[in-house]
Amino acid sequence: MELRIKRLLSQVFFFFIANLGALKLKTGFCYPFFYCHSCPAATSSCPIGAMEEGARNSDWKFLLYPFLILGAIGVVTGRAVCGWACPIGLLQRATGIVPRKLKKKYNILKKIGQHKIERYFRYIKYFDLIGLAIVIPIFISFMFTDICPVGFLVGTIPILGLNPGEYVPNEFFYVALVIFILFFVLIFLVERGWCRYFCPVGALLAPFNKISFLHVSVNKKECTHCDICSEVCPMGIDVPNMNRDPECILCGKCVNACPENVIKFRRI
Amino acid sequence: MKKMLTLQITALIVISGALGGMYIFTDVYEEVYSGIVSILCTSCIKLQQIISLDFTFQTANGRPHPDFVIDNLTNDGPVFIAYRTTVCDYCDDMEPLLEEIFDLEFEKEDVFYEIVDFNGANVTFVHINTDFVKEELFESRKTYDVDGDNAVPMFTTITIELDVDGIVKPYYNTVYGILDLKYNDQQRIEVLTNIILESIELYSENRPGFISD
Repeated sequence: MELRIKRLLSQVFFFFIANLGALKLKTGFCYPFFYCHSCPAATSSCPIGAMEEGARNSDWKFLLYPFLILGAIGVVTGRAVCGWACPIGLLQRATGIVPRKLKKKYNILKKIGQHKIERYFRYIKYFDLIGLAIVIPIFISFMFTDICPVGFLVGTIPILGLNPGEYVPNEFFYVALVIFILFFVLIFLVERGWCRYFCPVGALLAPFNKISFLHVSVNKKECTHCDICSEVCPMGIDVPNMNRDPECILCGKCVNACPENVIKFRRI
Repeated sequence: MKKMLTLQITALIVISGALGGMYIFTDVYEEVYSGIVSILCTSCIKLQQIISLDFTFQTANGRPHPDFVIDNLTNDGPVFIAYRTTVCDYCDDMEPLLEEIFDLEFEKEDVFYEIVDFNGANVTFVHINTDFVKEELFESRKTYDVDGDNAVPMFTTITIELDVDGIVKPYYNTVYGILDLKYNDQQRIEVLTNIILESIELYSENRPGFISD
């Protein structure tokens, strides 16, 4: 079976697992990926939501618990959950065809993507994690959950649809709506734009790529630097020069695309 | 290579051990389940429920009213239950108003009941932080969650009323959140006070005919 089919099956499988709450299966676990517990079908807690609660309430357990769940998985698979399990990753896989076509059609998008300043935007997700999800709740109040576009997508919209006339917008609704629209604009303009720049769960998992058992390895001696791998990489990584890159979601596109067969998954 | 493998195995043992320790020695699993997963996070959905001031006989989950409610209805008077979780901004906004209405002082972690003199009538005030209760008190929230969304804060007022079959039964109202975004605190106090006064009036009218099962 082709790798892309395996990955699709895995993503669909985890999408259903994430929504088993529809069958009344609720647990006390945190998702190891980005998904909102306010989704009517959610089965577990959003890791960022749990961390925010921990920060707001000075409860070390809630702060540590998502980190340990993500850490245990991260040490084994790195950011593979982003590429193989995350439902928002599945959504971006579906929308990814648009930015790929746009990039071919409009050279400016390609140039922007390759601009040296682009890599600094990738640090925004660490600000999301530390600033919005931990520091602000400690000193002020919830912030990330109030404006989270994923909560809007899988929580707000289904709840409004399932309970017509029972809810009215709260004070954050319209800010969140604007962010939600920008989220969609982003993922239609930049492949995996949410994962690259804004996902706090990706920020939590990214450092584990440096030590994870499973990783993508490039044989640099045999690499011809044809750059086909970088062209297909949804995260915009300079694959021939990468070494356990924190941005790599282990989707395996580069492994499939390499004509010299010098890019491989490694288990240790 | 060996250094990396040592680092990987060490990290896996430390993290897995700490996670396992949390499951064994703390209630984190139950707390995440009861405090996050089973509760509707109104912050996450950026919405506020539209409140209904109507009372109803039919419990939300079809189950009988909890024993502690029936006991209080039989012996004392209407029951007012305030449900909250520890981390809940709207709960924090509403609790000072409850303290003013019932002339009580309490902390957000408190689980307690007190019979309060409300305009010359007895009303049982029950404060339930669902993070700290199990079984009957925890399940009672589902009995009165008319919207079925597990949202907090949730305020339930239970009294008694004559139903269509001529039997006096428990009769309740549930409102959520900060009631209405357009209200100021004074209006919120007025709405809750009016619900409680209505429950007292119904209770005094129907008390002679109320026989608990």
